[in-house]
Amino acid sequence: MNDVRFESIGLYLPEEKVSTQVLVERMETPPGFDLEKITGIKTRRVKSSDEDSYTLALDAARNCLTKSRFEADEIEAVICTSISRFKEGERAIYEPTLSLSIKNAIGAHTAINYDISNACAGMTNGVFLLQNLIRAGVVKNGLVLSGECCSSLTETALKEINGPFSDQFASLTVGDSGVAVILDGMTNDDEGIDFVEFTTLSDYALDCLGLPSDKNPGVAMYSNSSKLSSMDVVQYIPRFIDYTLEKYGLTLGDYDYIIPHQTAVSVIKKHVRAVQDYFKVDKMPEILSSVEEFGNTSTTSHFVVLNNCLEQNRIKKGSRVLMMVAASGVVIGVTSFRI
Amino acid sequence: MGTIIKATGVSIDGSINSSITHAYNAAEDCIANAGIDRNEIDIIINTGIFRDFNLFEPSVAILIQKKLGISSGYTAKKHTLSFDLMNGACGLLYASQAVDTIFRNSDMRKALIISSDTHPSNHKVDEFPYSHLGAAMLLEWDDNNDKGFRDFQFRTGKAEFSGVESYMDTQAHGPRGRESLSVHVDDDYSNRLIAFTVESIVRYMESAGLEGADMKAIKLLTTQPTQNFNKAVTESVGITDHPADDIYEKYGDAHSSSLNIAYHEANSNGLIKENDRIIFSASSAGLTAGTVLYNN
Repeated sequence: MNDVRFESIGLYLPEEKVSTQVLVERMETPPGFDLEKITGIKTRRVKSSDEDSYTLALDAARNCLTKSRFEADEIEAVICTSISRFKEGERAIYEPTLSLSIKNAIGAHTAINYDISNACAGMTNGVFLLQNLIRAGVVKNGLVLSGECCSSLTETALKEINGPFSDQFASLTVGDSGVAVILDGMTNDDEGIDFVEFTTLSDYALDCLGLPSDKNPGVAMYSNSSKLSSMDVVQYIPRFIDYTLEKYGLTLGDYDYIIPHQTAVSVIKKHVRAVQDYFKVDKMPEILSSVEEFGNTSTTSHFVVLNNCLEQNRIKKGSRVLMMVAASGVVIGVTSFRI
Repeated sequence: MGTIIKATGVSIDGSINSSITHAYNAAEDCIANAGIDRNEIDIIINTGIFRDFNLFEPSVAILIQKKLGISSGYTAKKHTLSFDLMNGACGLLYASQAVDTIFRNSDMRKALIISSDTHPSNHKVDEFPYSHLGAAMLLEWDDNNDKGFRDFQFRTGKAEFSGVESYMDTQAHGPRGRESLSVHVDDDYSNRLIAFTVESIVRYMESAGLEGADMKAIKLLTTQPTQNFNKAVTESVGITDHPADDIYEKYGDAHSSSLNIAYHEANSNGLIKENDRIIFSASSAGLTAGTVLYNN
């Protein structure tokens, strides 16, 4: 089936750019290696003091609505997928849901709404759920969105990294952002979601944990990065792509672009190499990335890239795109679509 | 054809203060009651709100999946989707709707919805208004008859009154964020939620063509956030059969597990019969209300 499409995409990026060099200078204990060289990340965006996950998501939703044929009061579902659930500063909100606050703020009062949490697979997970709601005829359209204040993790890491083997280095690669996508059931020859598939491999559930720090105010992320970027885990990306392509009758050659999860330049290269080696192809679809400029923006990362490439006319109309999802859990997933 | 409740399970040991342990125990109880091979489960959705140590990554569902030993490693033939879906005490119904749509569009056939709430500190805390409990429900696709959930409806109020606010202020508690939580319940919450819930059920019955139906043929199960909630709702709606009146009295506010425990108790006590038509009503902060008819 090919009956749901990305109708519009919205993005919000905070204005402040912070270089990796400036971050390293702020570390209480220097890293002992060249962080920018190892990650390839030069800058990331950092929210201002009056921004939070809620405002980032809301600004992205408003941006999305300006590009949509729908008015806010016509939106029938709102699914918020933020990992960081900050509102009113750094309050991590449990109830009422962020999705309720957002739908009331934009005026989508009759929409179905809930929040989901699935680490960096959140947006994929939300698109999957909304695609199913539309296909089942429950709603005609909906909004999936996320605002992420990852810089809160960075602030903790700057204080707590105490040597080159710290489990908080991944917190220095992240950036803040908001994205929103509207899906509807109007497809044509040039656009439509082929499939969204993901699977969770719980063997690795404890290898990346996000929770409040026990040493300072604020939140922290503790990651076994070397294990999670090892071939033990990375091998599942091409294997799962292979499974999905076979299931839906597609080949790697059908794709014009691949958007990997935006973790670090070196990790992206490793993921792409794993796919190329697995499928034994000389030429890969064009790899789209913006991790050098925006860092790892967690749930939003694929859509930050997609939005910017569309705005820069880097993606030609009717192209087929494959998003490779790799998230804590471990969650492995694929979103395949034409746009 | 429809999405049916294959089995339920609960975790009610008051000495347990970990939400993950409660959810896991309820899931094991549910899987045993269903009599299935756990590896048949395609989807695991956690709808609990309060997390051990305020963990925000990964999903709690995947931690439960790991403890249950379901599809922990990769195989090309079997995939399991795990994620958290949150909307207060209404999560069970939103998750059931999500599962129903996935079943209708795929070859996935079994989903486990789990819930539990404990204080993040894993201790009993007087100010925490919810009971330390867990519940699980196994949903299954049934394509042979007319049973299962029909027509989910959800309503929310506008922004001016949410009734409950719960959050963890990541800066206010210094290095004690893992054990900190704030829950504010408005004094007028229960009364306004009763009115909102009644209105939601009445609207549902009107739109589902049930308004002229024989009320004696319909059973009502609600979430029970306060002592007299169920009684007040059922009397106002005019449904006389409400087989799980005493959930609050027995367990206190079971929050995200409340509706599941109400069904589990009623079913265990023989009060849910073949061909019963049951209205499930969930309501909580927002204000938010979910209503759905279930053909047993």
